[in-house]
Amino acid sequence: MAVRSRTGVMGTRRTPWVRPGTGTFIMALLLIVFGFWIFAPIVVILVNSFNIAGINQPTEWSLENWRIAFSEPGIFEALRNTFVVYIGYKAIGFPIAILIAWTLARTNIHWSYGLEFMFWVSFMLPGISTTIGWVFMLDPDIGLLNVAIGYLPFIEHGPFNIYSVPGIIWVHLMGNTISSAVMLLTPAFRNMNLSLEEASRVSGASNLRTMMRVTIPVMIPAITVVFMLNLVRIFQSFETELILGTPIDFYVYSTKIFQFIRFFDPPLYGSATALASVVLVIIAFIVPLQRWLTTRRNYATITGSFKPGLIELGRWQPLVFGLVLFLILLLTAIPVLVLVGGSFMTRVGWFSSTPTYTLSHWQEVFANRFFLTALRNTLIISLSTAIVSPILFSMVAYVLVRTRWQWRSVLDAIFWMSTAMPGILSGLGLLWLFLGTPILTPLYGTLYALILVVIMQGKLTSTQLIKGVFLQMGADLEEAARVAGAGWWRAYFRIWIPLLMPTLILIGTFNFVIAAGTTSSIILIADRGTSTLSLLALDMMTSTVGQDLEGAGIVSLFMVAQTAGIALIARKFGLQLGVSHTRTAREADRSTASTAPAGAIH
Amino acid sequence: MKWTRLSMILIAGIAGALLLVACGADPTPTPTPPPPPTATPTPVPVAQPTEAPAPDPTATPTPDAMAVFEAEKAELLAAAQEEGELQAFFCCALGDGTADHIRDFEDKYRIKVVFSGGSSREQAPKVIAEREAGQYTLDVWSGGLNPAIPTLIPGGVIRPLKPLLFFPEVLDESGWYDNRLHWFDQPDNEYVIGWNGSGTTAGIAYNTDLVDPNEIQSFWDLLDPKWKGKIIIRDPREVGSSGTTAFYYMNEQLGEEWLTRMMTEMDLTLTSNARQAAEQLALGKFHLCMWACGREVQALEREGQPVNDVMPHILAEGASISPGGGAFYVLDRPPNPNAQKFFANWFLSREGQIFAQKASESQSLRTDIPTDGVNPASIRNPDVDYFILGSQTDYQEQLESALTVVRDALASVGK
Repeated sequence: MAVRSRTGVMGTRRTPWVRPGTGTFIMALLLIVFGFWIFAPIVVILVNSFNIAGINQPTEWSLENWRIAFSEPGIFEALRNTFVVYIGYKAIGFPIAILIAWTLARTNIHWSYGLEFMFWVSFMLPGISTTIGWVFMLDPDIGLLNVAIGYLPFIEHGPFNIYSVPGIIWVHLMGNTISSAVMLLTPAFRNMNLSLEEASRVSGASNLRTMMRVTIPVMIPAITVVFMLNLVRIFQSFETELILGTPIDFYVYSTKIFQFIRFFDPPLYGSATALASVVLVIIAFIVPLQRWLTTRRNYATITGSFKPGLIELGRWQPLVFGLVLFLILLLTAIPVLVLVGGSFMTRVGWFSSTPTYTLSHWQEVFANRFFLTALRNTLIISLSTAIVSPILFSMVAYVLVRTRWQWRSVLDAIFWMSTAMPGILSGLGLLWLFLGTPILTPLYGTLYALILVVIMQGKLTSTQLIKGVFLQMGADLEEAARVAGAGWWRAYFRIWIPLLMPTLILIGTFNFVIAAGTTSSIILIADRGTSTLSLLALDMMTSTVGQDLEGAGIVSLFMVAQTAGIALIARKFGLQLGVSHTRTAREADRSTASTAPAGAIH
Repeated sequence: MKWTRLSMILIAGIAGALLLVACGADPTPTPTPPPPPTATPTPVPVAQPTEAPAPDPTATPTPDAMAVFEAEKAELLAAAQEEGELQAFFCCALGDGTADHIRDFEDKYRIKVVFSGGSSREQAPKVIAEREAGQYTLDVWSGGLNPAIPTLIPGGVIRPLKPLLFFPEVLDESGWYDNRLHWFDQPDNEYVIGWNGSGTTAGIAYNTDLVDPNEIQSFWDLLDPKWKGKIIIRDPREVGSSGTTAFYYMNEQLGEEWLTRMMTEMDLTLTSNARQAAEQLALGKFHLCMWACGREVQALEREGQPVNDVMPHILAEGASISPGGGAFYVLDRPPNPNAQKFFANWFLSREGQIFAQKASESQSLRTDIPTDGVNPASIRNPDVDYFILGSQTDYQEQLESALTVVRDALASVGK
């Protein structure tokens, strides 16, 4: 902001000093706080990857860790496999998710909010239950579906094999791929202005054509964000691949990262960092692309002339409702059966065990001396996150979208950088951050440290989703409030917060789920006194005296129950705010003809 | 950690300066004074335990000596009770049963045991980072030889345990297997003591419907082509199963040749999940399961599944004892030095090892305690001369060589 002389040359005359505005200070504060929180661990980990000295030995710089990483046998095949699997489930799952989000938000499908909530429930279910459940269904030898098909005439054995690339893709689809995208996209679709769709239909386009040519293009910011949020985490998914891929020698990039940590003592964090750093290339591609997509045109759908309304499904209603319900059952029934049913079985899925059924797993969980502490800690951490993160990150998103302050794009890029390191490496970075930063050290060993970590964990998803909604909102809403004399705070809390409420509830719930289930980012910071249910479940899953899958499942059930309860309460209050589409398109037409305007901003 | 802290301060400083300049703030801001150096926290003054004079382990304590010992023990216990708690990390062999059984110690001695569990791999970098930042949070650790030997000793994290031991029943070597205390840090023999001494017949689990164990008299029999594609193993490259690999490699009758052929010729199925391996064995999808399937197989056997991990005989190449995850060590600069010393002695005493057996279901290296509660599969056969893994001077080098052989062999077949 330095002022140049009229000639454009910085002359000898003293440059006039311009007093920086409030925006400058706020932006500087945001950049310093978030920049430090995100960059410090990444930089420390990256720098450390060039240090090959042993413990307590003088620093020795070398590229050796990087050489080891990229000369790992099969590494490029693993990279290819990662993209094969990712493209496989994304190419199928993402269009399905968009279609479902559109159906739930833009049509008058029965029980729309209930169906949407069921996708939330699906998202809350632990991934391991989905994987195990589908192994029981589709194991080539003992899978229930294969065995059942074998009873059919002329078929000796069922054709399915979960231990295959299609099997891995299937489990991803039945896991979070569809449910998370539906969960994140539906609120954006609900903000659609019916006028735009009506214009298309008046021009003779069908509902399908309207969806493809009008609705989806307008939803590009939201769709892009959700797609890219998945893309940057491409190297973080490995549990399914580890269970289903290793037996068939199918390795993905994330399993290779995992191996550098699991196969060596001390773990080769340097080589794991080198492999993980490839995600920086993806981020370098994503940030400008996403910025270009969201700034090249106006995506505002909610303005002062917003027109609510839904598209009538008519005779397609039962079929569409049935298909969505079937998909929900497919997504939720198997993992729920594994979790609930398995908790009463000696060994989940094993009907030949003696005894087959037992209450011992429940008794053991309740007798666990850390259970109640973990339950309380989880509730505190998750609730804090659910309340603080939507408000905090909605303000950050406001800064990114609604202001013209300098360096906004840098702040945006910093947020994307936060995904540069997979869980266990970022966990190590956070440990160093707490122990190496005097202002944070007093928090180490307390619940506050965990709360801070999990709140910040939701920064990228929260900010980007709220950004998407801000892009849908016309500036005239706030301008009207300001013209009427409202200050910024009043306008923010009276105009923006109510409009954002469905998204804020979504973000709160989303972050509650993430906070309740997080392990790798907090495992090095937590101890017994600050342990959570997710860490307790992890303990049970990795116990060397035998993996207690059933006990971990019971702990997961408590996490799901907590989250679902909070989500239900939040929805009950939150859905009374935001934009409402209680009327169908036809009713909206009648309303528009008789009275104007038809805004329904509550 | 010094450079870590410095780099963090540097990053924050640079970022802040850049921003202020870029956003049009005064280009010559008043420099922020550097943060004062963090002082190393002064340890809370506590009564330091006196180190016991080197005892003569062969001598039977006289009544006078016993009286001196009892007085010293009472004094130490009082000091430990004054501290009130013990900070412990228990992992690996000491598993789920620890929480139940440690209560007996807490009730009897009125010292609260605050313990955490989980993976040694994650705990080691955490403790090292804490110490570099001047935080000393742990007193004792029960876990594996890894990370103690390659990481914690070189890092100065653990201190010699030997000088702390003074309970006569601990020092009486006749009470231990092979009539000696089992130190695993060569050549010092004072940091890492093994307490877990479960016997293994062969480390081979089998499906009893599909395999007649008498078919396997030697490890070389496992290379018979009839087993090809029928063996599932827990990935031997993982740190947790390295003891088994070391046994095969260091056994003169097996060595590199057997290990390489096993990895390359037998079309092995690898998994990182021992439960998955054991269940696939029980389902009959595989005939044999190797590399640390034992615990999961034992659970399945108890549930009536057709699996067993005990061979009816010792194979021709012998059998081994490994502390596995059952080694014990004490940390340098403990927050509760008296509780640390008392617990270390108690843990290795008869009472402590009975606790360890209950918590782990594994047999202790103590020979003077009953084996109640010990998994029968892990009880040593008195007629077998076991090869004690880990006590060799060059064990770490041998282990690394074994893992290199395995990694190269598996890589050569695309695994």
